Amino acid sequence: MDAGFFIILIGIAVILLSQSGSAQDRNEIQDISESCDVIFGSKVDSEDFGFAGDNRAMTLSDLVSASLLLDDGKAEKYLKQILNDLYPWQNAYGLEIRYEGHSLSINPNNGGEQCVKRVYAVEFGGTLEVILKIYLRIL
Amino acid sequence: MVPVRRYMRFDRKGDIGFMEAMAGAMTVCIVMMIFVAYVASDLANPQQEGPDFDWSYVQGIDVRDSQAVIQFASDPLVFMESENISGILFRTHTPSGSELEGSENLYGNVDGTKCSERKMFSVPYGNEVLPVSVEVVISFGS
Repeated sequence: MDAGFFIILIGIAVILLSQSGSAQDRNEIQDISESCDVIFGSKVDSEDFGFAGDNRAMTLSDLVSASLLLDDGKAEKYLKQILNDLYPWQNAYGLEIRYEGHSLSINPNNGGEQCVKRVYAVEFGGTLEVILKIYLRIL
Repeated sequence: MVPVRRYMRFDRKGDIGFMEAMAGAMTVCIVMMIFVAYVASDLANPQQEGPDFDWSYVQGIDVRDSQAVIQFASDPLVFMESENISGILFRTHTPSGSELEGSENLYGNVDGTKCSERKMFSVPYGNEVLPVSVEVVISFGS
């Protein structure tokens, strides 16, 4: 009877211990996916993005998709600047983007401790697949 | 020899069985192993030093004179006093090519040991909605 009570008590402790770890991980992943949604859901002036002569504001996922189709390097330059501001430490992030058979990798060798995969609808057809991997900062 | 009364007679009704004892011992061992692994992983992956910034102080981003300016929910000096930190610096970073510029707010001085945190915000600006990252640098050493 006593041993049974003890086993139940220890079992509850194990469940609490494992849940505290997983809850922390879930929060971190939500933060990364939130950042990813803010970046790719933003509306940017096409000229500011690098498409000269067009001053329409378009969703960044559309502009990145167009840049991937054209293979002009504008998406890489624009996204690098934003992500370097957000994750400025060394080997902080890795980004993979795929659209209609075209792909872009920024810091492809960075594995990342946390990873999110998001899919965004593109206005002129298809979907943009984004994989963002982040390393935690260690001082 | 002292006589044993009937109601004080010894028996084995209170003893635990072999299986119960083994299960109890195994459970203790497993829990100890999980705990040691948890502590070891914490030591192997040191977290950022210094106080964590309470992001509820930042309500959002305002645009004033083409600058992305932080809108505070309450005075950051309250956070400084409650966490006993010497200085705090807020910076906003805007995308390249945009007419919207970043800004800085400094409270106290940030000369000591520093740590920083960043968070992304959506900022409406004209017909655009720009991704603006907010950097918070906290100085907690002397």
